[in-house]
Formats: sequence, structure tokens, C-alpha cells
Amino acid sequence: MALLAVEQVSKSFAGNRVLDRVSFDVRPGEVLALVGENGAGKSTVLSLVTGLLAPDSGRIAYDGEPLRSWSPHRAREVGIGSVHQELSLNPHQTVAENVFLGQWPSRRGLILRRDLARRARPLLDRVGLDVDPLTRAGRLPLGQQQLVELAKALASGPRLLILDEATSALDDDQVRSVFAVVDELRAAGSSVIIVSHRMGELFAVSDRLTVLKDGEVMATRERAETDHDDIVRLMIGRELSDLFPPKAGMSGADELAQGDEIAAIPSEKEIASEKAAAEDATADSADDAEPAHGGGTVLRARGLTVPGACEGVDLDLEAGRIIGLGGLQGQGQRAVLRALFGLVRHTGRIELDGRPARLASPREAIRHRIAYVPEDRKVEGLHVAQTVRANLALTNLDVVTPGRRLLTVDRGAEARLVDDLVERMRIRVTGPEQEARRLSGGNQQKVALARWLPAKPRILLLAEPTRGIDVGTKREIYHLLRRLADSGVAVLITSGDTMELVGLCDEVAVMYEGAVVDRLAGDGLTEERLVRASVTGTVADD
Amino acid sequence: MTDQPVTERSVPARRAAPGGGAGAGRFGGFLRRNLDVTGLCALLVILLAVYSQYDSELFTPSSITILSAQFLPLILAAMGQSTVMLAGGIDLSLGAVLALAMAVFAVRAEDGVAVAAVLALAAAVSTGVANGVLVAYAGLPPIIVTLAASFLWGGVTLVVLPQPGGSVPSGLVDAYNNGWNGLALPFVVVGVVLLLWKTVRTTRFGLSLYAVGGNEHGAYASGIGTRTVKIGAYGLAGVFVGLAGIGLAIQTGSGDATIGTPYTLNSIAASVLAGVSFFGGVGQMRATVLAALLIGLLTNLLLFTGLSPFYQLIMQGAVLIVAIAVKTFATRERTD
Amino acid sequence: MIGRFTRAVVTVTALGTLAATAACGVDSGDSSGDGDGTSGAKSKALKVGWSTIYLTPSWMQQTDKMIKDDVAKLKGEGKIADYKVFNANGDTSQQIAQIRAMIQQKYDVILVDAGSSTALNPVVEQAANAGITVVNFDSLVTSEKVVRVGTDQKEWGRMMGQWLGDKLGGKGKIIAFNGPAGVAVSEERWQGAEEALKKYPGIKIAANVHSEYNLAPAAQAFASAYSANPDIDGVFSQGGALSAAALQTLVKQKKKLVPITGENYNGFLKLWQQHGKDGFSSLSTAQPNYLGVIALRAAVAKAGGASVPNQIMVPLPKITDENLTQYVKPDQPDDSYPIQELPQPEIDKLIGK
Repeated sequence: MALLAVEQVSKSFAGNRVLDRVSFDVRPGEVLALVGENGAGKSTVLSLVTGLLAPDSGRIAYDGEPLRSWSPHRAREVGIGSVHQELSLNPHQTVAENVFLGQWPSRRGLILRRDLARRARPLLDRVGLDVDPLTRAGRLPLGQQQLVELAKALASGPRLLILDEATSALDDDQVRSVFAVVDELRAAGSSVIIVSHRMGELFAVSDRLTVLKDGEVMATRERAETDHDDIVRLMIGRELSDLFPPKAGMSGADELAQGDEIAAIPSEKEIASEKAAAEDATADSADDAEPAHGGGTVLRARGLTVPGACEGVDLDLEAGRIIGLGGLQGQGQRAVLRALFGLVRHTGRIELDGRPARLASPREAIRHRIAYVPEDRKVEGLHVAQTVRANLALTNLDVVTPGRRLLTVDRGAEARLVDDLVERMRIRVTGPEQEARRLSGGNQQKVALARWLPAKPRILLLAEPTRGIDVGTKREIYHLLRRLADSGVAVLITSGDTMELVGLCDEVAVMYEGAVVDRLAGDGLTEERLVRASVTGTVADD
Repeated sequence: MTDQPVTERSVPARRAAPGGGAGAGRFGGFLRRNLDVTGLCALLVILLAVYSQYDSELFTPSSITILSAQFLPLILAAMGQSTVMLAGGIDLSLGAVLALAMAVFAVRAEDGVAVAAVLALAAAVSTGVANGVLVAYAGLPPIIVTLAASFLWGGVTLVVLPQPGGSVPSGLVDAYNNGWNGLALPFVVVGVVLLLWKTVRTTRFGLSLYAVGGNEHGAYASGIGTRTVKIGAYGLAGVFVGLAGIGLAIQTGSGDATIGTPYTLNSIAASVLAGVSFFGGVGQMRATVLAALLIGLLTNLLLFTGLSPFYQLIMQGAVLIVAIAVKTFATRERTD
Repeated sequence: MIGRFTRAVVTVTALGTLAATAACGVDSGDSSGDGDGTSGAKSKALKVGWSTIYLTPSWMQQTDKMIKDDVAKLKGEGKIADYKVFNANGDTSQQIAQIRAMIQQKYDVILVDAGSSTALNPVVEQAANAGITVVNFDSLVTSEKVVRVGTDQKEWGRMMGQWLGDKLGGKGKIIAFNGPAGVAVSEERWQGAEEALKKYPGIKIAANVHSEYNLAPAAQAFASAYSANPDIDGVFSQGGALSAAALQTLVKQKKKLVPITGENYNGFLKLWQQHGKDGFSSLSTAQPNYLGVIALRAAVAKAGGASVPNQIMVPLPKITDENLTQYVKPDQPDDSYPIQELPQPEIDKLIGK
């Protein structure tokens, strides 16, 4: 009998179906790998098991019993331990206190530091962690913190251990410790569910693999009966040859033929007026010696450094090209984008059109017509409690307050602007007064992007542009970005989605521990090379 | 003083070898872990040195008794505020609850001090629990809940004691203010309460308090009942604030509905000065006690200086801003 | 590392600030000794301090000025060596600390304008027991071990109630306009007024409104009560800003100017004078600023060995339609409290000389 049985489980967020009738099971003494792209629903299904979320429909049974009044507390009681991507440690408490977080062993109600430390020691040894149990957890490097999480999961003697990207921040030795623990548990009859981006690891350690794609289970395979290619095929699913638009320099007649299908942005008229605007700017300030988009390097960064995040990054953003920042999560990609938008303090030399520029604040970045669509739309990218209209108007006060008379909003101009953007971007809304938080993730992303367009950015920075977005909308966004690039915008994106980087970008800079370790372009830009550079942190030379 | 930064600077070297515990590093490690406490102690020593220039009798038993009697309510109030802040909350109703406890005690003290104390504490704890329930279950921001609560409890206090009055047995007032058989009672109370805190700190509840304050989501995901913990934190703060109210009633021999208000902001100032983070999870009660003492001594010292009253306010504000800036900066740097 | 360095810098700055404070204090300490040698008076010159719960309101400012003028005179006579003001800024606990500090610094005379009628009792008694002359004025404590100089707040209410009752001929509807609930002065004045109004069963209290003693909140509070009761015949108001707010409302709404009791708040007095010809009538009294001077004189006398009554009740002045012009100061701001100085013989009589 299965230890854990997930049967026909569905879950939606804000009308966006994340899990669609998912079924799989885990047997005692088995290691099951959950495989799938970002946003395939792996983390969501695991959150259902650990009690962080409740399913909309379907059934989950543990040890033959359906889950009732499920909560993290109950899950831990019945022996489900988990290590998530997102750390659940309290950085201010000691390692020992964190290992026993929430279930500290006590003597007559009292918990003694030394006692905790003594009890934590064997657990830390088990995960190969040689640190003082009285150190504050926040002082440890990320990898060691993740091992503390593992020790914490082991503390309750789990019968089911969930490892959700638990190895993403670990070095090789640490990964070996984790797998030693996994083998140990399997030998003792416990079960493990493992999620990882590193396919090699999964093949090394798992007994079966379940492939998720867009919230559906594609297949479950015995390890012995499958191989790498088979799994990747299942992950990507049906061939989506038109998912990505043709790259720079390859656009031809077929691209134009698609024009009516994809929202035409910006229109020819727009480009003309943009040119006019750029000429105006030239005449006014003589700041831009070059025309706005002559196809050359728009932004040149040399030795860009954000303390603690990235170091010595060189980047050239060219009009008409889409550059990607790849690599494992948290290797400094986000810092590069934030630095270029003036959100974090940075050092290094930045030139715009060949002239040194200082990007000390978003205000200055915007003045140089740099636009930034952040990763967390709900926090930075949108005012989620505001209406779609307000969101679109706020960044475009110049347009909606024509003539700047007293800066009063011209409702007519505002309505025209909003209608225009909603239509061109194909934002699915009930009306301009709909609250942004009621939109699906894809539509939110469109709003987040649309609000920058009237300002006619020359440089567009996007973090994880399609995270949590369904395939249809992804396709629209890819084509939209390419159209913007074709109209002379320089685009820079970060993405954890290898396929997206390979399919969309003209060039990908692979980052590792804050530095660019490899640059892939043209025929050299393949998923395989990208993954290898990401994982090893070295140039992929083959 | 000048060598303090040097000692601190040598400390991080130890980070390179985690788990190592060489003799020389141990003292450095102690300093680092207790940066707030050592810093405050240093400030306190200086303040006391300056103070004794003005008041030669500072270190006599009677002076110590008088001063500790004066500072006790603020110390206790600050401990209450710190408890809530450690759990990631804030309590703007603290002054009102303090006045309520004071009023209840003063009104009932003549019928028996013990009963009055129990009633006052019960009142304070139930207000705390009510705050906690609203924060935990209604999901309202603590700043809103407790601001509203401050009006509510202020009104209740006026019902209990419409005009300043009530009375506390004079023997008790005298023993508290002037010492009891040569024993500074308020001093003893601080000691006892700190011991109580140390005990609470070593229970599951105490650790959960820090865990919820430090990473609420993580605590929840680890199976901690975050709501219960929050309610407990506000309830425990009620104990401290209730004791502060009783202390103030005994100090003044009476109750007064209007006297509590300044304690709200002063307790927050003391907590922040002590290095208790506004975001929760960071802070030590010892530091809070020291910081409250510092604030009390500082205002007293300014009285001695004979500066014009308005300049005293400016000085007080300036010193607090500078000191709190240090603290905030220090906490921010360490959480990064 | 930068963080640690900055921390060190800021710590040093904080200490510097403290040191500077200390230095200022030392300076003034030196200068305060000067007064001793200036006169040959047989009793030693006194070290006097005034601890007040507030210093910023204009009534307090006026009192402060009056006391300072008198201190200058007494310094000239060699009776006072040093005088300092301590402002508790509304914090009663702070006021307790101040008085404690004054005890430790061995002040000879402590004047107190109290923030609480009960909470200061232990500390002022402690001061008295330490041989310090403590004189409390204006806002009084309940302790009988110190000299208290004040006006009878109940009498204040009684006087106003009586006048209003007479004025209305014993019948009519009125609005009672009181200070904040729970504030001792407000409660006492209202008690007195209720006593007096009891004698006029024909007078109905249509509404009892509470407000802070400030113009803006008072105007709001009165306007809403008045709109509910537009047919009133008079207003019992217990404070200057409250009366001014009430009268302003009537004037603005062009309603009948019914009698309103008042206080020597200049804004009210000006309005009264302006609309006296329209038939407006009032009786006002005052919490006289010279309470502070009387307290000072009493303290100096007592410290010099004279016997001084423990309770000095200063009679409330009466401002009527007739003597209004002697009080009102058209050239001064609304927020001032014009008062006639009390002649020295009157003061001497009050303190029992």
C-alpha cells in the first residue's frame, strides 16, 4: 500500500488553474522524483501535502487515511518532514533552536540551550554539517542553512521526507551528504519525494519519476525504464514550434505574417512618433548625440558590482536584441537588473550611448527611458489594490495630464490611453475599473508591462517575465518582447526557465555566484550547454 | 571607550572557523552576542559617572531606592512593549492599559492589597489577550488594533476612576518609595521579573515567541501555532504592564486615569534603544531593562543640569535619536 | 565592517552630546552661585524651583512671566538666590522625577503646578518632610501637608450657575458646556454649577457637552449640540475657549445671543465687547495668573519663618457687563488672559502677614 496517495487533486489561484486532476503515489521505502518546468505545479502539490495549502478538489491519503483538518502542525506530527526552496529558518535564533523549531524537547517545561545543542549535534552530523549549534542561523552561508533545514526535517524522524529544491544552494560535498541521508532513509523504510532542477541528481537517487507539466501529470516512469531524453520530452510536452518568435536577424516575411495575430506593438505610427520624440529630445537637450535606436550599443556596463550579490559583471545591451541572464536561482541576476534600474547601490562603469551615466535612483533610470518589470508583480510591479485604469495611468501622468495645466487628469485622455493599451496588449479585463489583483497572473504581467509602453522605453528590464503564467500568455509575451526589440528597444531578462532563455534570447550570459561565467549565442545557445554552465559555474567547452 | 571598536573588529575573524572556541575568541564572541547589552552598559557607566558629579549621594542606599522606585514603572512597561515587539507586533494601548491597572489597583487597594493586585493584573492580561485575539484572528495590523484599543481602555479607565483618587495603604507607599528594612523593593521586583522572563524564554512558548517574530511563515510551516503564540505574547505583555500600573499606583499612592499616556511612546523608545527590532525576533530583555534605566537617568540628569526646560526637551530628543539611530543601524546590518 | 565603524562613530557622537550636556550644566551651576553674595540680608537667600505640568499654554506663559518679574524683585531684595523652571510637558511621572531631583539638589522652595491631584502626594510630602517649603498653586494636590494656593473651582461653577439662573428668571433650556470628562477641574466646576442650578427647577439642561479647552474642538462640539437644540435660552460654559466657541457659533449663525458664562480669555472678552450692544450679556471670572506670585510670596514668607495658612483660597474676580472694559485688551491676541494685578497689601493679607 502506498504511504502517500494523491488522487485527482486540483487547485486554482485567482482563476488560474495550477493543478489539474493530479494523481501520483509514494510507496514505503521509495524515492520519488517530481519533475517539471518552473510553474508546472510541483511546489504547489507539495504544499498541499505539507498542509500549507488546501486542495480545491480531489483527495490526498497518508498511510491509508485521508487527510483531515490538515495543517503544517498535523503534517509534522504524523511524520512528514520537508525542506523547501524557501527557507523556513528563523535567522535570529541559534542553529540548535532552529533544528527543533516548534517542537523543542523540554525538561519539566524548560528548554536549556546546552541541552538543545547536545541533542542537535547528532542530527547536524547526520547531514554533514560541522558548525557550532549555538551559532545564529542567519550567520551561516546559504548552503549550510539549507542543511540546517534538512536536520530540522530529520529531527522529527520523518516517514516521508520532502526535498523541494533542497540542493539548489549546495556544493558537491553537501549534495553528497544529502543523498547519503536519502539512502539512509530509504534503507530504513521511509520514503522521499525529491524535486530538483538537476536532472542528473534525480536519475542518481530516485526510484520513479513523475513528470508534471502545466499542472497535469504527464506520466510516471520507473527509473530503469526511462532516460533523460524521454523525461525532457514529457516535460516540454507537445512540440510548440511557434511558442517562440524568430530571433534577431532572422525575422522575415513569416514574422510579419504573424503580425495580425499578435498585438501589434508598437504600431508604425507609434514608431514614427517615437522617432519624432527622440528628435525633440535631441534638439532640446543635445544629450543624446545618437538617434534613439541606431541598432548600436545602448547600454554598456563594465565591472558592475553590487556588494554581496554580483561582482564585475560586463554587459552590452543593443537595440533590437534580447539578452538573457541565466544560471541557477539567486546567482546575482536580479541584482544586475535592480542595479541598472537604480534600485540598489552599485559600483562599476555604466555608459548610455557611449556617455558615462549614473543610475543612482529609479527616477534617473526612468529619465534615461529605462523600464523595469520586476519579478514580484504583486509587490513592486503593480498596485494590486488599485484598478487597472489607475495602474496604467499612474506611470503615464504626462499623457493623462496634457498641457500640464495644474496637473489635473484629463479623463478623456486617460480613457483613451487605457483602452488603447488594454486592446493592444489583449489584457483580459472586465473593464478598466477592475482591480489588478483580480486578474490572472498573465494579465497582471501584461498590465505591469503595458504601463511602461507609453513612455517608449529604450531599455526594457524584465525579471522572470513569464513565471506562473500559462503557455498561451507566455507565447503572447514572447512575441510582444520580440516586437519591442524589433522596434529598437534593448531587452534584458532574467529567467530560471532554461527553455525560455534558449528559445527567446539572442544571447544568454550565465551567472554563477555573482559573476558571468559564460556567454552563449547563436548555435552555441542550447539548453544543454546552458544547464551545464549554470550548474558547474564554468565555461561549457565542447 | 576608544578600544571598543577595535575589540569588535577583531571578532569576525572567528567567523572563518565556525565551531572553533578558542579562549581568546570566547570573550570576543560574548561581546558580539551581547553587543546591545555591553553598549548600553558602557553608556550607563558614563551616565552614572556624570550623574554622580551632580548628585554626590547617588550611590547611597536611599538614593538607589528612590531612583529604582521612580524607574520601575517604565522598566516594566518597556518589558511589556518588548515582549510584543519580539513577536513582531506593537502595543499602542500600553499607556491606557497601564492606567487601567493603576486605577483598578488604587480603587480596590483598601480592601486588600493582594486582591487588588490580582484584579489589576487580571484586567491588564485580559486587555492584552483581547488585543492578541484581534491581531491573530482578525488579521488586523497591530498598530491599528492597539490604537483603537487605547481609546477603548482609556474609556474603561474613566468608568473605573472618573477622577484621580483611590488610595493605597501608606505603609506600602512608604516601603516602596523609601525602602523596606533597608531593602529597595523595586530593585527586587526588577530582579524577580527578569528571572521570570528568563524562565519564560526557556519554555516552548518563549522560543516560539522569537520564532514567530523572526520568521512567521517559517514558524507556521514548522507547525508552530502562530496565533496562540501572538495571543500569548500580548497576554504576557499584559502581566508586565499590569505590574507597571501597580507599581505606579504604589509610587503615587493613588490612581489617575491620565497618567499612563506617556508610557506608550517611552516604552517604545526604550525597546528600540535596547535593540529590539520593529520587525520582531531580535532583542534581549536585559537590554530593555538597561535602556529604560538609561532613558530615566538621562531625563533626570537633564533636570540637574539646569538647562532651560525647552532645551532639555531638545537634548532629550537629540540623544534618543542618535542612540536609536545607532541601534537601528546595528540591527539592520546584522540581519542582512 | 563599515557598519561597525559607523556604529562606533555614532556611539561617540552620542557620548559627545551627553558630555556637552554635562558641560552646559556645569556652567550654569557656577553662575547660580553668584546670587549668594549680593545682599546682606540676615536670612539666607533661597534656591527656588517651579515644577509645572505644562509650560507652553499661554496661561502658563503669562504666569511664568509674572513669577519671573516678581523673582527679579525678590532677588534685588536678596531674598532669592536662584530660580529655575521645570516643565514636565504633560507627563506626571516626569513631574515626580523633577520634584525628586529638586529634593536631592536641596532646593529651599518648591512651587508646584500639579499634573495630577493625587499622584504627586507622596513626593510633595517627602519634600515637605525633608524640610523644604512646598507651595502648590493653580492645579492642586489633595495632600494637606503642603501649602496650597488656589481658587475654589466649585465656587466658580456655583457663581456661574447662580448668575445664569437669575439672568433667565429661573426658567428656560440651557446647554451645559464642560471640559474633558475625567479632568478634576471640569468635574468640580460642574458640581458647583449643578448645586446652584438645583435651586431653579424651571431650568432644563438640554444637553451636557464635553470638549477640550481648545477653540477648534469646542466649536465643533458646540455646533452639533446647538443644532439639536436651537431653542435654548442660555449656555453654562465653564471655560474661556468654550465660551468663545459658543458665542462665535451664535454670531455666525445670526441667532439670538443668549447669555453665556465665561472666563477672562481675551478672545471671548473681545467678542463680548463687540456684541454687548446687540444685547449679549455674560458673567466671567478668571483663574488669576497672580496665583503664582501669591504662592511665591507665601513660600518666601514661610521659608523665612513666618506662619502661613495651609490653604489659601484666592477670591475669584468677577468680570461683568459693567467692568468689562477694564479687562478686555483689544490689542492683544485672543489666546491671552488679561488680568488686573493684585495689589501687594491684598497679597500680604492672603498669606497672613
